[in-house]
Amino acid sequence: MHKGYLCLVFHAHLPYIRHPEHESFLEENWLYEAITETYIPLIDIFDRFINEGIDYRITMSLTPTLISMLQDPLLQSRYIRHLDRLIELAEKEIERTMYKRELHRLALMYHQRFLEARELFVNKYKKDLVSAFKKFQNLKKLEILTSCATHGYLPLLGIHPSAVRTQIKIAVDHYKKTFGIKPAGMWLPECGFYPGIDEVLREAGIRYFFLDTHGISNGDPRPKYGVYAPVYCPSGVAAFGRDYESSKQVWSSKEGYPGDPDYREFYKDIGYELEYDYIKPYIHKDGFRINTGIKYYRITGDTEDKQPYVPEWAREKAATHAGNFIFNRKKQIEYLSFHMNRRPIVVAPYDAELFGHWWFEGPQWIDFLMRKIASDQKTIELITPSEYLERYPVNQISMPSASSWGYKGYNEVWIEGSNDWVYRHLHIAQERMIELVTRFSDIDNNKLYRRALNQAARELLLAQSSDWIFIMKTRTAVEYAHKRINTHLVRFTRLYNDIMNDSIALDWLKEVELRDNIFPDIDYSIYQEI
Amino acid sequence: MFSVVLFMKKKITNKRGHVKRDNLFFHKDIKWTEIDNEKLPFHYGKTKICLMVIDPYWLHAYWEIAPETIKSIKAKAGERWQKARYILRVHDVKYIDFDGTNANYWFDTEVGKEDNTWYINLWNDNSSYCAEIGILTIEGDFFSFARSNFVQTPRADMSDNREEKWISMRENYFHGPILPEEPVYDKKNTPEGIPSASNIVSNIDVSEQVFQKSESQILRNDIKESGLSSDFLSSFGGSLEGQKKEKEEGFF
Repeated sequence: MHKGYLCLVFHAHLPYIRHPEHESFLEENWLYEAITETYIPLIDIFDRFINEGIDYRITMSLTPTLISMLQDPLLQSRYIRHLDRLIELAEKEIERTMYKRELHRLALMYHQRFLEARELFVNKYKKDLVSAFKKFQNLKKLEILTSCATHGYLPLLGIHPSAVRTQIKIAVDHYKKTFGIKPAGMWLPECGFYPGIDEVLREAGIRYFFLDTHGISNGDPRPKYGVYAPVYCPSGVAAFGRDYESSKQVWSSKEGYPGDPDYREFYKDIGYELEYDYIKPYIHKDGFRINTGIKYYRITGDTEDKQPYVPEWAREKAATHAGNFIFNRKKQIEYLSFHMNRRPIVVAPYDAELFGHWWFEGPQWIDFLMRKIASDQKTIELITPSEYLERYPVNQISMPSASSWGYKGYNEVWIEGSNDWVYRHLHIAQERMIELVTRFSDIDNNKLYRRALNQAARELLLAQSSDWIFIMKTRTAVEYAHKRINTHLVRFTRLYNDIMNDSIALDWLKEVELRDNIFPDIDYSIYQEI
Repeated sequence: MFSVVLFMKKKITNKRGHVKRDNLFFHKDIKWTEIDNEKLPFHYGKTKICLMVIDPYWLHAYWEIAPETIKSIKAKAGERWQKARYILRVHDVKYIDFDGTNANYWFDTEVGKEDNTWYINLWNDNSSYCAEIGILTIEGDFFSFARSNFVQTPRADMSDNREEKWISMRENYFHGPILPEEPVYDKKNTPEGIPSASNIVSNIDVSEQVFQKSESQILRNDIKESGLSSDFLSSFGGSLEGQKKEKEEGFF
């Protein structure tokens, strides 16, 4: 008999990046890379499980911004263009590496992968990957969570409760529209929580959400079972806590699986390695080098002298690591079940893009993990949070502590020297949005006003994405992040002024609507003050 | 940005056929123009101070003081204004209906006249605060420009409260906050899966067993070292330099 449960949670998210005003745009590649390296491989293994009758359970969030991009016809077409260029590059690589056996077989491997990705994307799912996830959910193998509308980091927006409510409410409506059912669970962006958010979740009909370990363990009263059973907030919404051990095994750069010497090295990409004239057509059009996704070397060790990647060795390691993960979960669950008079649940959440994009062998690891759990053991049962709550509707009442899963466990990543300037502008915009809604609550059929007000709501939501603030902190695409926050706040401010002064410029508004086209059904009145 | 505009126009007018062929990738019909000519203002002309929580021992405040506010406080303070200093006053208001005078205690930090943000260190976790920005005269009078919102700092460790209330929730009656009429279980009334008084396990505090190594503390230390956190944005596209830096700091 099973002694406990494992709940794997993958958080899939990318910020809304879509630039129809440019023929191609560097940052749109984030989506294309994630599609090829993460989403398609995951869909592929989920499909194989179903074809082979392997019973599995995975919980996965798909944020409204990611869903909107995956469903956008322009980005879908551009993805195919991107993939075709990759296929072309891989063909050239097959030729170039003809006399380097170790690399040649890898060029063939990439070529094959890209062709398979194209087949799955174009022919099997007709460019609509969301429909694939929906299918797995309908088969009860995958439980899809929603997340906030634009992944706003709620603890720092919460100075205006209506901003928090809007982020949550729009996400729930978007989910219903996409999947035809209401979402049971929510992935709070960055697990950012403070007491009070649970009440908003309850109003929106959400049954459960996730927190980092200390969010649960520092709850009041102290939860008897720690993170190995959910708690009910006083509002009645359940909170599941992250298990630290399973996170660390996969995630830690020091001890985690992805750092194994046999796995593929992320940092040696032919976009940076090959001769400029040869690679030029496949890097940025302005000539600076970028990642292509074709990488030939393994991590090798703490050395600059990287050795060629050997797929068979990496595959073997992925199998070993899946076995090791199961072994550790079994020990953990056996220990916990001895101290608890119910079956413990181990919640293991990860960023979905870890698997495949960063950790190339991640999807293989998931593949092995699911197969081994289904056939090799009887201690662990895979479960989704909804299934757990059906089996254990009785839980302890405790108010979790404010927390996040970011560096040091609180809000520091999203408010520090590089990004603190954002909040005075964001908060003023929130205030102004509430002012607009109050003042223009009754505009009857004035379509122009309605359009302008709805667009103001979209601009504010886009400005609120936690991603821009996070990028400023990590110092990666800082210029772009600054540009995005500025752009949306400036557009918002212009709309605010135009609406207040009765000077809405239709041509300008039309263009902004075409550029920032997320949430076409938005109704600005959602911002009403509470 | 200007050059981009020129480029786009050229593309549309001179290579119409080409653009048309590629129209799946590009909105050919739209005359894209530069639409973001304005910049964010430095000031909004509104007096306000906002307080935000960073962690159990750290707050952040930002403020803006409108010229009219300075004028009116100047008038109130009279001559005392000359030697007054700009002060950020933080009130501990835990369990208090704060009226401006009844804080548990308060502390002052001198800030510069031109400053508009501050990071505030605290020595207690799990408390409530409110801040004021103002001037302090050498006579000791405080004139407030603005008072902030209230914030609640999180607990930095486990609660000593071990009260156990267990409740049943099912989707079909998931319609409101937990109310007294809902069945609340105590230790004597034990359905499946909750600790019972007769069960020897309930004599042990499971939270101590499952966190026996004071996991919460270890966790925080580890997070400090390696950042077991998320977000792979830094690994998409972009510059390798930034990514490598990220790796050195610690996560995959």
